[in-house]
Amino acid sequence: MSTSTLPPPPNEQPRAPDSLVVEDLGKRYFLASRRVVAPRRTLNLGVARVPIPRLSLPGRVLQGRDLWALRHVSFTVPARTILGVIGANGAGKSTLLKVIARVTRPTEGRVTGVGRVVSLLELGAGFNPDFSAHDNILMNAAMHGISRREVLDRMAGIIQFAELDDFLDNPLRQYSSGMYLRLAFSVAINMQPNILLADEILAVGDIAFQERCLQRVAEESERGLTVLFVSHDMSAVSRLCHRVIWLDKGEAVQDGEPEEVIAEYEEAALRGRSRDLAFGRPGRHINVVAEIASVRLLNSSGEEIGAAPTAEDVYLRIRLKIRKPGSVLRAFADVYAKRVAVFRTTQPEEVVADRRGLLDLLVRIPAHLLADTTYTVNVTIYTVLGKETKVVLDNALTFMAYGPESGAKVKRGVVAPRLDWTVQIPVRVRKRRKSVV
Amino acid sequence: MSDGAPWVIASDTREGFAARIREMWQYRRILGFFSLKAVQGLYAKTHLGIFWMFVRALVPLFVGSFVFDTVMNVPSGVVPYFVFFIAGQIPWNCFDGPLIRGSRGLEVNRMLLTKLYVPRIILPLGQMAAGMIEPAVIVLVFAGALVYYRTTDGLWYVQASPRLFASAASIGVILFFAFSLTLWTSVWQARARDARFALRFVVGFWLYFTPVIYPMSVVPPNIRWLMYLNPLTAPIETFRWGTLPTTEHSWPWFGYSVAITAGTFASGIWYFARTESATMDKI
Repeated sequence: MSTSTLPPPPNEQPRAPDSLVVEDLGKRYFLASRRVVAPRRTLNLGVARVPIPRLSLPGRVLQGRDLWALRHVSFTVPARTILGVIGANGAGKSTLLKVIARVTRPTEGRVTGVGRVVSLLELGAGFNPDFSAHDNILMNAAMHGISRREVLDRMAGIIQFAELDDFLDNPLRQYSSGMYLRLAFSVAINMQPNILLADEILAVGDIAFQERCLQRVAEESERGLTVLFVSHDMSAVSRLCHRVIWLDKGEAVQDGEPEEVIAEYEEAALRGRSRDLAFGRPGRHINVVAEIASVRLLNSSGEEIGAAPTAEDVYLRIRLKIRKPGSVLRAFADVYAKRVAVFRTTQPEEVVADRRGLLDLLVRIPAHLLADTTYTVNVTIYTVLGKETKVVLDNALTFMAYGPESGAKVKRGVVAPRLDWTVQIPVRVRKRRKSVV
Repeated sequence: MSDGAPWVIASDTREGFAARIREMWQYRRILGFFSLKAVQGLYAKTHLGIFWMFVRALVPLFVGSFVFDTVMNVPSGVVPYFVFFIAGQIPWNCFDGPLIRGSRGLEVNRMLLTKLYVPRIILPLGQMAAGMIEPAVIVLVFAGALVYYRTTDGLWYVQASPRLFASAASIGVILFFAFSLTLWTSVWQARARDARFALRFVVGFWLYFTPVIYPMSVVPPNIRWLMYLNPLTAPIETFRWGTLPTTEHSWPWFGYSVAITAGTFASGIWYFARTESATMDKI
């Protein structure tokens, strides 16, 4: 992977002006759990208590709790910086981007910025699957408040970067997810934003496309482009970003050089130190017999990938370091999404680790099982060598799954299995007339 | 957020009315795309497609005309009841359709609203466009009916006269009133489904208190003022007065309707702006 396409880090430049300043930002959501009858208020008149008439209709109030998705987050981004935002699920990464994109209003604090903000919070947001690429480009630009003339001037450049010459007049529903991504990114970058907000989107593309985006971002950064890039794909973050902020439970835990922050974050995930996963305990991923060295996502060619296409088989690779040969192993992988335990998959047969060194366990996740959501994997290995012990790695891997075309996205549920559906006409049971009243 | 300009987002940012209008102008072209999408979505995935557009407009006209004219013998002055009836249905449908559809403006664009910032007021407005299809079809039917009665009765029931401007103004007032109500109802509907049912319920009754199927002349004079309190009564009467000969109408009550519309619009803008950010979190 060449890093020559990266623009020089901003601190080596004559100090660039700040393009985004976030000060003490907080966003509170109210999580309603149920409605309860409001206590009747009374007015004490000394001699008697008079009930105050209710103004609200059913006299019920929502009961629930406040959740601070973001709290006391402050940072400053100089122009020409690609800032990575990392953290576990629910850490507040997407909320941060939504606040800056003005999709949701902050509860406290403020964001100050300069220039045009273009957001890519979701693939396909601001596109209409029934329109052609040409019309979608015009519409998407309009949704960013950009003039028609400006878009028409850039049309050729947009189409060229997106590489859709043959499909220009086809409705978007016929596009593959790769083409969708190319179009979305091309429109966004060609609008010459000063600040580009990208949520997980670049991680969906293959490495070649990421490289092309990076190249383009580097070119645009000459103009002073600033990028906020949210991802679970640490390799993409370390490849793309100049600086990384780690959010945990809505607070910025660390802010600094990508290698350092990513290392700290992965270390914390490894030790289960993240406050998001209270059940994690330090040092559980290693014992005298074995150590869980890494958990990665692979495609069917064995290449590491950052996000899983739901239409293809993908593999979980659990890499173990056997420290004492002769032990018997059995592994489990627990998969979570949306705070739900989706499934546990168990290695059907025990294996004997007869030599010291690395050992890979591959788990095939078949195509058409995962839904369009973000998954977290916890790994547990039981080792028997005289006595039974186990090694556990919570939060070992977090990845996003994405569907082939945006029209068929399955947002509901935590799995989207392709099941067997058949159609048949029921066999009519002839009833005797007597039985019919 | 225009080019190169600094901006601030804070919990207490208030854009102000002028800034909102400027913003809507900047984003004005979305309106066309949303309208197109709303219209395309109307009869998408139907087998009969555009045919429904005509069926839905035509059948109620003929059935209504049969029931109220042939069966109930509702008076309609010198014009045939069918013409009278359609001349009431045009302005009524400019209210009913845009209101019902416009109220869904935020709800149907939920996915977009949680992912991309656009001036939210444009969304109900775009959705209202889908509600304009039916009145447009009814106008065509009206023209057809006029040609038919020209051949049978030998005269045009609609004359070209300056009064037609009054009809156009009435349609303007009714559309503006529908949009003003949408500012309230679209917020309710985004927050709770109850609003959808309640709205259809209310609009269903509203028709009976509006002189669409009957003329004001059948209303006892001592309760006419009660009918005119309904802000739709005067514009619909004025629309008929502008298009058809010899029907009554009242300019003072028309002024009253304009005032009510302006009040609803101002309060609607206030309510929409005040609840906007909270609605976005609850949608």
